Amino acid sequence: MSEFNNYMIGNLPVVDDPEKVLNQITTRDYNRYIDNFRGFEERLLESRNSTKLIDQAREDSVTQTRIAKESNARNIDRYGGAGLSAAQRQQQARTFQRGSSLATADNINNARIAQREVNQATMADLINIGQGVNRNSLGMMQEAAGMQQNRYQAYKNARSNYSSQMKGMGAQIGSALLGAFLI
Amino acid sequence: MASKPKKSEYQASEAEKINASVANAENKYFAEKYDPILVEMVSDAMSQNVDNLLAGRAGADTQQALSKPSLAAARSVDSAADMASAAGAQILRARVGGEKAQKNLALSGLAGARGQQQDATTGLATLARLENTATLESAKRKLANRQANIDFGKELAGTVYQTGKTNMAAGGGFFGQGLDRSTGLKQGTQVDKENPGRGTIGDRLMGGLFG
Repeated sequence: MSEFNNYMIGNLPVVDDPEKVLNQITTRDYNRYIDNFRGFEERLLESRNSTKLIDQAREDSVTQTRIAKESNARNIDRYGGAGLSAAQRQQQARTFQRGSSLATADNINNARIAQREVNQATMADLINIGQGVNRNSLGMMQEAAGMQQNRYQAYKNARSNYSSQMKGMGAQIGSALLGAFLI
Repeated sequence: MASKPKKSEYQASEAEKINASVANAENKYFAEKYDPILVEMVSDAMSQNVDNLLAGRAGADTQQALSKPSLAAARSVDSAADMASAAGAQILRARVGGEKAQKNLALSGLAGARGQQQDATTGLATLARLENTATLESAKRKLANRQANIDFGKELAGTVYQTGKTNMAAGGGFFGQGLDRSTGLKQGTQVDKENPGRGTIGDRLMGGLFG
């Protein structure tokens, strides 16, 4: 016997009321969507204005400047000062400071460009998803409005039919009475 | 005349029942096995720091390439600044890649979830349509019943009127007061060729039913 025997036709649970089950499934699915994904969706919508890359680039630049400085200091120590004069060391420090400042600025500017690119791509995808949401909701609303209109027309037709029937009956009784008393 | 409709004649066919069972089982399987994957994907997309992982890797690679002990580098006036610049650029590139990957994952997750939600709302719309059709059909049935009741009343009223008229013509009251119930003639009048009467109640009933 297969371990998937329960999934075979004949062993599946009987569905007595498909309409009720469809109602349960769709209601559960919608509620599950709200429960599992709505918060995530809200966060993703907010993320179109993210500045994460720029903030991170600032932090990273500071860290990398520190690491490069420490690494260079260790390298110089390793070679016993590397034969550098005080003036050379001072110039090296200045160059490092200028170079790292420029690198930080460059990094942050590049991060801004990249962030803009990522945010715009996110926004484009969100707009696509949003269009689908809008289309779906409008479709549902149109259906709801159409159904209401059908019901209203059916009610008006029923009233009109009823009124015609009553008039017909009145006319029949009236002519019978006229026939009885006038002829 | 056709027999009264039986509920059993309107039951679902075997194929319809199987169809519903399979659909229900498949949906249950989807909810148990596939849906959690989407939840997991979305949860990963929001919680995992892919960019941190990639940035760490890029930083390490840069250090491995540029921080080898070197006298030339120690004496160089700008090697430290170059190293800081290179590491910063590499890390930024890694973070951008990570951010893009994470956003793509998140957006795919959202698109999947939204697709699923749309399927759910389409299902709800189908249900609403079914119920609306049922409401309209019920209204139509009520209308037909009302029409039948009115026709029945009209028929009855017509018969009462005709009978009353005949009763009055025979010299009795509208409801047959003063008439013999079996002949329809005035009480005491003999049935003969000139006054055949209306026949017995049985004759009249059979005549009414079968013309």
